[in-house]
Amino acid sequence: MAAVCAAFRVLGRNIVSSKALPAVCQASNRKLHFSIYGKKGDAKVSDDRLVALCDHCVVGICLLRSPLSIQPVFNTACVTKLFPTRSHTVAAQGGINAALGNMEEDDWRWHFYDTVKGSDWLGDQDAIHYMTEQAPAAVVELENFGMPFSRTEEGRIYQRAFGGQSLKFGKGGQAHRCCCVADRTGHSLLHTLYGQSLRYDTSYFVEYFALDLLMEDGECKGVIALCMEDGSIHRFRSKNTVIATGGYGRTFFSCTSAHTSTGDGNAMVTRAGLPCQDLEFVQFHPTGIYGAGCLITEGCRGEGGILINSEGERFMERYAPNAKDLASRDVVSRSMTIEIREGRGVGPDKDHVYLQLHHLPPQQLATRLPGISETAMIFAGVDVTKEPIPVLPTVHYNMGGIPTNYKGQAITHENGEDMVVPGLYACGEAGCASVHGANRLGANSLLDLVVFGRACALTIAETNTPGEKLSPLKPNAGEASVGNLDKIRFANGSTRTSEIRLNMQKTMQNHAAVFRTGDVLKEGCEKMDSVYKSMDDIKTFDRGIVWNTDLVETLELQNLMLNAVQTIVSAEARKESRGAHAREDFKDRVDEYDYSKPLQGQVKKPFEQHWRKHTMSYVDPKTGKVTLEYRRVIDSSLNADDCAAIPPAIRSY
Amino acid sequence: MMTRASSFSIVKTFLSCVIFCCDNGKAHNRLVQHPRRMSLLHVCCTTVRGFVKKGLFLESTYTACHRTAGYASGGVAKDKEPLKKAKTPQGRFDMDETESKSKDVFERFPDDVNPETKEKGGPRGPEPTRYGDWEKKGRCIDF
Repeated sequence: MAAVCAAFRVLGRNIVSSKALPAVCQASNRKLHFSIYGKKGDAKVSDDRLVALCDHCVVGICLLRSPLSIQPVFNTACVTKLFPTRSHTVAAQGGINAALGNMEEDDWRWHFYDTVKGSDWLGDQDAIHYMTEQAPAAVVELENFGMPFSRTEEGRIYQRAFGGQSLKFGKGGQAHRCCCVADRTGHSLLHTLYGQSLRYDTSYFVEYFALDLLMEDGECKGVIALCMEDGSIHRFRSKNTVIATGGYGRTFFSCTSAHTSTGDGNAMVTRAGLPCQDLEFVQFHPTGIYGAGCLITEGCRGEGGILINSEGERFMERYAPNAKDLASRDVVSRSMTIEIREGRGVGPDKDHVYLQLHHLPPQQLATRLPGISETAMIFAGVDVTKEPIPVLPTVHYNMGGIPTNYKGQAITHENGEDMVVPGLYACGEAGCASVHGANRLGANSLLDLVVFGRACALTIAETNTPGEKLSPLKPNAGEASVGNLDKIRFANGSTRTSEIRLNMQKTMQNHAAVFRTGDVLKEGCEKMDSVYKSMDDIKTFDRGIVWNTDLVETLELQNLMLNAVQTIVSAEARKESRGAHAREDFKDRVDEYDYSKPLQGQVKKPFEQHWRKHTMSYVDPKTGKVTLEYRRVIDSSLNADDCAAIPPAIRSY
Repeated sequence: MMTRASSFSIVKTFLSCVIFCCDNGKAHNRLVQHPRRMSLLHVCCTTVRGFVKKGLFLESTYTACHRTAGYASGGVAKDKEPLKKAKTPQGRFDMDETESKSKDVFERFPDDVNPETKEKGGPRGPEPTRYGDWEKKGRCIDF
């Protein structure tokens, strides 16, 4: 969401004196659109099969200014199911990485190296080059918009060490690159950009649930959306559509994301017949509070907290005899999952473990980890000085998403070539540029949002002129979406939406979470297949059209399902361990060369036999069948003279 | 002829208006803590505003404020008990007044400048990245 707002940012200093061009045809549709005093007078619960279908013609769905001269602005609409400042970005409280060099001498090329290494060489190096090179400019621009970064004594932006950042290509020690706004960077970013976007004549369509893309001849011509307030259906015709719908954490039982993170963008793209990229790469954290999804810091274990199973055993001693509870995150997550799978979980469903802190002196907890008792009480309902905290591995971020090039344009892969999908862009967690590759570094995702949101805007400005005529749209465009909506609204099967959702979440948590082996994944694929088929038997209760949250939740469940099947099938197919995708049966990375040995004398493996490639997954929405293809990783940077590409190597920290 | 119930409700409405008019500071807190009373205040405020807008009852509202000002404390004390927010069944999330007011976990740095790192406008409390992830109140925000 922040990315969409980022797309509206000012690039120059010129004030546009003329108002933005009004949307064509909008005046004639005013009577169908809800009036400014709230619901339209005759909006009542009705059994009408098809409610008002309004057409909005918007010339260009991205608003921005030319940096060079005064030009009329593009007409923009922002279609969102939440109020913009309520997007999940508001919960991103870490910082933004940028090689500003305020604390020590720094170079964006070193940031580039760290990000490429962090992605386990699955990230596209041209996109990473673009992001890290633009990072300082992007952060300074945000600061000029009014984002209150914390400062050093001299008044420069304060940077701290975070997120696996190093100096001199990994040889110079810890780098200090992370800029923050007290402890609420995402919140501040979102509010700053939203405030800036209000300076322009953007039409905000808040609480409109986007159903599908309107695709014609492989070109994206707009979006069809449901107005949740009055149940009317709106077609937004536009030359360019930017998708920034966030991740799909809610496919798993335990996740840190909001209930609204349902992968709507990925699903819309899938239904349009386009691929999604690298969905099997999901970032987990070992200790998330059971039920709430909040993560408990590793500092708890650092200060002496231990993980125990139903037998009261400190099980980490078996899995990591030396490091014990201080083992790396993936080892801890996998150990916890194995314990749960083997039946030594706690709780009525035996599906989590305990993090015990009450053996530590309360004063030590209070001084070293202030606030933890409050957190434990609010989110877990336990007194941390007396009871252990229930925890389980929790999903935090989705590295995969809609494949784009470094300019933010959505791409598809045909005959071994990347082809741009005209009119479609994606950025943020929904997009996969891919800068995070197989693993995201801390504080890079906010940077990703900002840089690629801006990139989409710049590309749209380059390739379009305001006032262009829209190409005609078939009168029956979006019919399938309306049909689906109708079908769900009157669904009368036997299983509730919430039951199917819980089945899906439990299946994904048990089979596609941290612990991945061939058998578990295959079993998971079959179970997900049957859960997908059980969607045909869904039952909804609310037949109305006004604020029908049952309907919206079911639509979200359809979106989640599409994401879930792609995730688990891609994970089953990828027979290696890379970054966040770790398999017990294939523990090593399978690249074209074995990079742990000298390259001389090695034969390069053909494309089909190694795994350093992006997964492109397609789904047939009717059957839930997933087809996979693969795409090469881009190993060259944008400008080899400016920044040499990093050849693959073994990733070790 | 007014019934007892209606006369009581009018008195109650006026008392609420009095509380709003004459006791703004405390009323704000009550607005925060007593949603039921807030809606009552809203109702009577809109009513009063409506009356004022229509140019009627302005004088009578003013005199009512004066007349019932002396009874404010007595009336409020009587009304306070039944309208006090009930504790949740488990009583878990109820905190005392003092605890909820002060953020005793993280105190503000003087001038908002961290004395050790000299960071101005940074996160309060200990360094969030001291354990390798970004920690806030025991929660891991980013890693």
